[in-house]
Amino acid sequence: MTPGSPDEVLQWMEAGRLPPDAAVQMLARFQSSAALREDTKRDRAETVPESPDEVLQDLDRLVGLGEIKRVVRDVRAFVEIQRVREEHGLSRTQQSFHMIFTGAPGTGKTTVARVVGRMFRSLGVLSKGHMVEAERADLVGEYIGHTAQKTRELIKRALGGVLFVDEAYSLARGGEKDFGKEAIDTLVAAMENYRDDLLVILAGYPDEMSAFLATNPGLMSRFPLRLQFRDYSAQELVTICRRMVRERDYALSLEAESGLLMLFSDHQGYWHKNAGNARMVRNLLEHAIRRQAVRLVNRRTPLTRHDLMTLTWSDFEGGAG
Amino acid sequence: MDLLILGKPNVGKTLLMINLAAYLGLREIQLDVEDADGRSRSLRLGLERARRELVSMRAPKTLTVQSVGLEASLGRQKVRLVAVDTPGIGEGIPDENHVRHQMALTLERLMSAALVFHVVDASTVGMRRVEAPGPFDWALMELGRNMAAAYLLVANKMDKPGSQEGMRHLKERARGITIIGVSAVTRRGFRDVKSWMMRTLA
Repeated sequence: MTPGSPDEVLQWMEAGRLPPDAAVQMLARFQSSAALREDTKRDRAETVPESPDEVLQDLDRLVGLGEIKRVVRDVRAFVEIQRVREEHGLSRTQQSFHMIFTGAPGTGKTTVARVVGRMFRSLGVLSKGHMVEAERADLVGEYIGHTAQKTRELIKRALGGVLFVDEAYSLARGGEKDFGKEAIDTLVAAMENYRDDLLVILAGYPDEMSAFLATNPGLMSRFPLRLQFRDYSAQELVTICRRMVRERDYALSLEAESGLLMLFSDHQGYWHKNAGNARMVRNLLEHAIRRQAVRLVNRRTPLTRHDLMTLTWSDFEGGAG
Repeated sequence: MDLLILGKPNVGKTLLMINLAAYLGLREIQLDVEDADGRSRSLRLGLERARRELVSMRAPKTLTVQSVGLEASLGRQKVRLVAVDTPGIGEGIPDENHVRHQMALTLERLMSAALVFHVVDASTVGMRRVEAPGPFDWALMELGRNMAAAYLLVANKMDKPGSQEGMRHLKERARGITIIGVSAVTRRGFRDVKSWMMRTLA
């Protein structure tokens, strides 16, 4: 018995049934037959697939986002049950999973979109699961005919994965004559053509997105899943901050933590639109790290590991300005 | 686009990668290092430091590291260079699970890379040393022959005694394969390697 495909060769070698040099010899034989070359090319794109559970674990690690985690789980359940139904000879309900993410900047839209891509890949719905991020400038061209070409190229890159259009409402910005409309039309056409191997996610601020969808009634029905990313609560922001701090090998002093909690609760609901949430926490933190360095460098006493790690409230006070 | 540099331990993959990147115009190196246990980290090093920390004239230095990568540009293209060890390959079936797993990963990478540099030590051909070309290398050359344009056999250590002899032997075995003799230390042959890359990617 010999392995029937390059994939099997690798599996056999990994299982200890083939010495590596023999494995390479077999791969060489597979490679030499032109008919199989196409197959290996397809195999190449696939790395070891993750399981849906692994992906969901990553999703669970994100702070907050309760509602969103639930919807993603629902989708996973739907897809898996449909597959099992099909195995039992039952009919399959076709559904598209194009999504609209609304929420302020820094509420996790891009991060979740990546996870969603990976999940669909693990479920076998998308062939690659990668994500291509785009905004107006990537889709809209400068002269007649340019837009469709640009949009199509971007779609080609996103095939097999997720096309994430940030601030999608800006496509409707310029009114009737604007090329943005052409980009939308091309996008919609592509969604029909590649319905099996492309996931489109439109993202943006809640208000602008509802206005955008209202002016394009055809879009609504093509994006059945709408996820709302709420602003993080003060407590969640502190948790996010604590994680970022830990990742950078720092620690928050107790008063820094309670100070931050106060700061975040005071501002709850009043975030400036463009400074919101997790991204603001990061700026705040980076600023505090610089200020801690200044505080420590002027000190005369020897520095301990604890000193070097601890961010105090005085480092944060005064914000990121 | 990925360029995979592979070969036995101590044939000079890492130094080839660093010096070639420098030759292509890189001043500082952002290294992505993947340990044998699959953890990866990112290091930003000056060229001198990268050489010092990752390369040694003594026994295989990259032993604890499964792969080292960096990004260079060739003309307008960005090329990711990744050096991967194939330790112990060619000496039967390895006992440890993770070693076999790593090998499978390496071969998988090999199939998906846009360019492959297969590095051999020209100065030890026919010797009984870890870095001397062995059955695995011959098999890999066979695979390379069928991979057509994307595969380059790099005969390294051409600055060492005995390498001319070894090169003759390699050339005989490598009929139909592009082979370039280089020295990662003296950078001899780098111009040929670069123009090969340009031609292949054009």
